[in-house]
Amino acid sequence: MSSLMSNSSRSGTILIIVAGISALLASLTVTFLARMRADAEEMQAVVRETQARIMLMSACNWIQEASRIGWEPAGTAPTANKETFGWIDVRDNKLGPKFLANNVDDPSRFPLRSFKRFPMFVMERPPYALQLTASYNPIRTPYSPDPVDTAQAEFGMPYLRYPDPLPAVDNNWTRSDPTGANVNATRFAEWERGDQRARTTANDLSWFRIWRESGATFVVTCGAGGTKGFRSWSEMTPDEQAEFSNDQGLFNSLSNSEVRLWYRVEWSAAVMAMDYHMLDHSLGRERDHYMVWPINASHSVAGHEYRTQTHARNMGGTIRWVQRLVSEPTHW
Amino acid sequence: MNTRYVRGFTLIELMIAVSLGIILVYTATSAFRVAAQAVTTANRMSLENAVLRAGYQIAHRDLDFWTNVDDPHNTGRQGLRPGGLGSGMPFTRFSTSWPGAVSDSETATGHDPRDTAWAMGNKRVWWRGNMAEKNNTDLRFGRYSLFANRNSTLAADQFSSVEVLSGMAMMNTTYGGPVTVPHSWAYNQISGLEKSLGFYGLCDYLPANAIYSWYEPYSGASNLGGMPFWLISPDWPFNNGDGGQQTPRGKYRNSYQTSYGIIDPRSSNNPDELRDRHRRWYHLGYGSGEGSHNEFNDWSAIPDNHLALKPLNWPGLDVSVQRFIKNTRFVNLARVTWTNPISGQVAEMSFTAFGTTLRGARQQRGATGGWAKWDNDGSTNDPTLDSN
Repeated sequence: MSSLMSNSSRSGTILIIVAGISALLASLTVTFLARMRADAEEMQAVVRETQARIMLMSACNWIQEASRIGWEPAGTAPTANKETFGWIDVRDNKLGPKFLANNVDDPSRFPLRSFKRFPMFVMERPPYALQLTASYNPIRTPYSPDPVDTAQAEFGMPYLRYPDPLPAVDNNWTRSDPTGANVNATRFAEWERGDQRARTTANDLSWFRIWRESGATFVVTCGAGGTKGFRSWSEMTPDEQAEFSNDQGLFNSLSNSEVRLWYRVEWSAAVMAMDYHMLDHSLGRERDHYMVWPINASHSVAGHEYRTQTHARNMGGTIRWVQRLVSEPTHW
Repeated sequence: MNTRYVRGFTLIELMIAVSLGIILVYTATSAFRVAAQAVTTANRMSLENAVLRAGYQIAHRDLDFWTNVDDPHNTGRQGLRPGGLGSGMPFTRFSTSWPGAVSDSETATGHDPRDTAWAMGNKRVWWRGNMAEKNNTDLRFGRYSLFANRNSTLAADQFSSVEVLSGMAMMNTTYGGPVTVPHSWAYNQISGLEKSLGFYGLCDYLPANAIYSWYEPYSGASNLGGMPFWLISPDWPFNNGDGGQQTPRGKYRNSYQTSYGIIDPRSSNNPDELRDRHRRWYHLGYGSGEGSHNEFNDWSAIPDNHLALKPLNWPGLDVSVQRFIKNTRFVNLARVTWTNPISGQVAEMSFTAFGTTLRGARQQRGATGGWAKWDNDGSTNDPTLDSN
């Protein structure tokens, strides 16, 4: 009996020790995991703010580009009217963007005091998506995937034998029939439309909205979260509500957890200064020549990078100023 | 007599048991220590990460609100606001440094904030002058100052008297005056901005295609055409002399190997000195030495210690945001620095970012202190530092 007691007390002691150590390790592990989880959640907030800030750049890029291009309805054949001349037209100082023949105030493409919404999530396949093949026409060598002898004319030559690029939606072109005899436009509309559903693997959807405050001044809202840029449930059409499974609670939850930043920006048609430059100075002599380098001059002398595209900015204008708003504006 | 035998341990049993016990306890203790150290390390790294995240967000707050150089709610950190008429700094109110009327007239002289005022289709914006107007011009290409001048009227004694086209027929060397100048708005805007804000502010407010020069009445401080020497001569702190040119320039040539910057008000208690530091270029391009970089960094990248009252075992956190212009580009350079409390090792994360510009920062600030209310609901908004 006493032997039994002794054995059971030893077992009990060992059990207590093992259980205690296990509990201690478990608590340390839980603490560690909880800390990591908290870190990850805090990091998520930083990532969202970063994504929202990236949207500021995207919005400004859109404002710059849309001052000049992109206003034809999809599927419209290009015409002479496809170019516009700025949010405030550089030709007559009136409201734009407007086409070549339109010489009156025309805010119709983006009316004053209205907004446009730009969900920037990763789509399954964006409109007009291209295949991601790195090179359809690699330079051929004896060691390339499609080898060619050094004696042959094609050796080392960058021939563009195959069409490059190709649409992501199959158009029946095959390498075995490089003439393209079987290419057709059966799926053109599908390629043009894309598959605009959000990829399920994409985290933290970001978006921006632009409110046109005046001719060239905009309120930019930068967001990172799941609302796709919708401000409220009532703003959405039934089809748009369906994107949130017709669940207003879900939308409100997404809305409450996302990051939103508000900015005001002003666009200008100005792109660069036309610096007077001594031509002969470039050639090592100190004489004047009355020369103003043209925008996007590509005929630069090696080493004079200031005459290349780094000097000229773009053809879409510039952003004159940016102001982060201290509080949420009424309209955005 | 019964003899009872009490079962005990032999010495060997005891030694084995104690040995096994020691091994067991030692192993358990070691395991616990390793686990504890791992958790401690994880906690410390987690703390460093938290500090780093905080620094990253503080830097972005400074990028967007410029509070590192001007705090609207702290008069002790508004060292860039002093300055009177024509001698302002980046955060001086226009109402004191550059008051003036705003209208669509060529003779309007005040800051015009409307986007239509500076639209490129507005002929008033166009820079009219001679891009080859040199320091030592003999006016062989004409007197552009008659056409465009800061003064909307010029008296006869406000022209240089010079033999134009030496050796040939004399052109007008004097004018009966007064001459009415058709274009003066753009020149007044350029000069008004420079006098109110300094060089960085001038570049910030003007559009990308601006020519940094103007004509004014002829004086000993201008060339014969009336163009101020300091705008075209490399002997002055605005024109860096790149290319050996003595002509008006755009932002690119003016910042090709040099920079204009926002100077931290903590770099000097002397407003005059601060003002001067906003009216000079800094050599930061090729051929520049360590000294010029250090000077510029010392004045424009002063870090804020954001954990001055931290526990001893916490990392230190310093954040600075530096703003300057280089090769036409506006650079906002943030540095987040944290210091290991145990080893003293310093690590830094630096990045550039796009955010509020100087003009945006001035529009954020109320004319009488604090943040200005701005809304687009149709109500009246607060006057700002830009209000005149």
